[in-house]
Amino acid sequence: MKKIIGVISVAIFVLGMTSCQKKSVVVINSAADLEGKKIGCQAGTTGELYLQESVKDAKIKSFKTGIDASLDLKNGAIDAIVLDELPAKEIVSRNPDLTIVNDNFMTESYAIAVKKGNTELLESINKTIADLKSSGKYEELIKAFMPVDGNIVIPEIEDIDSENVVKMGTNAAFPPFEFILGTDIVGFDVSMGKMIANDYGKKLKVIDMAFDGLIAALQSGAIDFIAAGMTATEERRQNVDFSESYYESNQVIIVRKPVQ
Amino acid sequence: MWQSFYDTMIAQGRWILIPKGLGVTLLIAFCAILIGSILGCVFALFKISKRKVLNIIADVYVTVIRGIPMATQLMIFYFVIFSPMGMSNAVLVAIISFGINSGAYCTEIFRAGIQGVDIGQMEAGRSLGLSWWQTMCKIILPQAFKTILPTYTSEFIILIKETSVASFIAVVDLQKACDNIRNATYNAWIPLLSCAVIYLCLTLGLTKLFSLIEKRMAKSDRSK
Repeated sequence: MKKIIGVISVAIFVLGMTSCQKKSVVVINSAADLEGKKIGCQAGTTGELYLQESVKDAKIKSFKTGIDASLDLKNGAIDAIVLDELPAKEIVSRNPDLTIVNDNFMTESYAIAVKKGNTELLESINKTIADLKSSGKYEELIKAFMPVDGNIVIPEIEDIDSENVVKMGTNAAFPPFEFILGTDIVGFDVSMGKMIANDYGKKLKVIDMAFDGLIAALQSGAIDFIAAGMTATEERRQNVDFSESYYESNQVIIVRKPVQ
Repeated sequence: MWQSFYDTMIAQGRWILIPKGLGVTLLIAFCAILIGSILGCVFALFKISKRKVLNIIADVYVTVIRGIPMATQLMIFYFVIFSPMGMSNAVLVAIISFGINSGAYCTEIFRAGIQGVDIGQMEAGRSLGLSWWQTMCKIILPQAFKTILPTYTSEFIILIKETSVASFIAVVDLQKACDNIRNATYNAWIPLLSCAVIYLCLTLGLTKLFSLIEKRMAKSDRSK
């Protein structure tokens, strides 16, 4: 009996050691190189859609957040991540062993989503976005959340006092658009959400949930609008109404830095 | 090691997320086990009842609830049933759906306990002139309670662990609090291990508590 246990444990040990492969050296310089690689993405994003539709033989791993994907990339379980540009930059700036390949293979524009037919809120949102852009406050927001030196300063925006709340759904793992600072959810979208709520005459309540659950939550009425760096795609337009676009972004590829 | 613990958990007051999340986890678990026990009692009585209709109702309830994964159920309750009705308090929805889920398991536990009491006890009670209800409440249930306590404990522990899927519907429970810290710090192991230790402490504490109750009850056993 002891012998059998011994043999089994040695076998398990050997198997375990061999299956822990070394971080393979993979060279990815453009979107075309993604073919056949193990690629991570965030569930429900346009990056995931791109991988499913346009990249041949990709082994796709969808994570709940891009940050989870970056942990897996550092561990060597995947070879690359396809993610929106700004969150990718934020992730890379915090993880010195990762770097970005910018191939400009897909540009897209973020917009705010409301439930289909909710024109009253949609018009109010569109007006707020237009006012922001014309009054120069938009540039201030951009400067605050996407500073050249990398030090984000959260602008103070007063909540209006109202008993009615308007609920904004987001996924707070998408810096600098939404992220957790200490115990609070902050970010470009959150600040803009506050302005939207103030113009709409209601108090903002931010609800943090999984990105791929946002549209379902909007349709069921659990939230009133989505501000989560969401790209206005044709597929999504069939289920929700989008506001005017408020930010142009593109998809980039995050890879491990080649070892010197 | 300490430095990285400090950076991950203490800096910027992030640790506050943990007690907050723990509070929500405990709230959901305790309320759900209460609802579950009540539902379990009612449906267990339905199951042993002589009326066919009640039997069928209880059977359908147990089969449906036990046959669907908790995460699926939770999302159905939130996205399909409650929030279209205008109730979007996610914690409340979580309490209700965990309660209903736990009720199905409690039903089976209670039924086994009641049926485990010797049939002679019911006959004796009835022949002494007690009604069916009186016999059930005063003779059968107290004895059944003693036998089900160990399985009931494990149901409670399973429930506490299962609440970790509550973040599917935007509830910030202990698991989600740890996820938030993980996302803010790009550090996986400190938040996750802390989370694991807290869950373990919770379940250990409960096991101890219930085993104390069990011992206290065993005092009235003649055999010991």
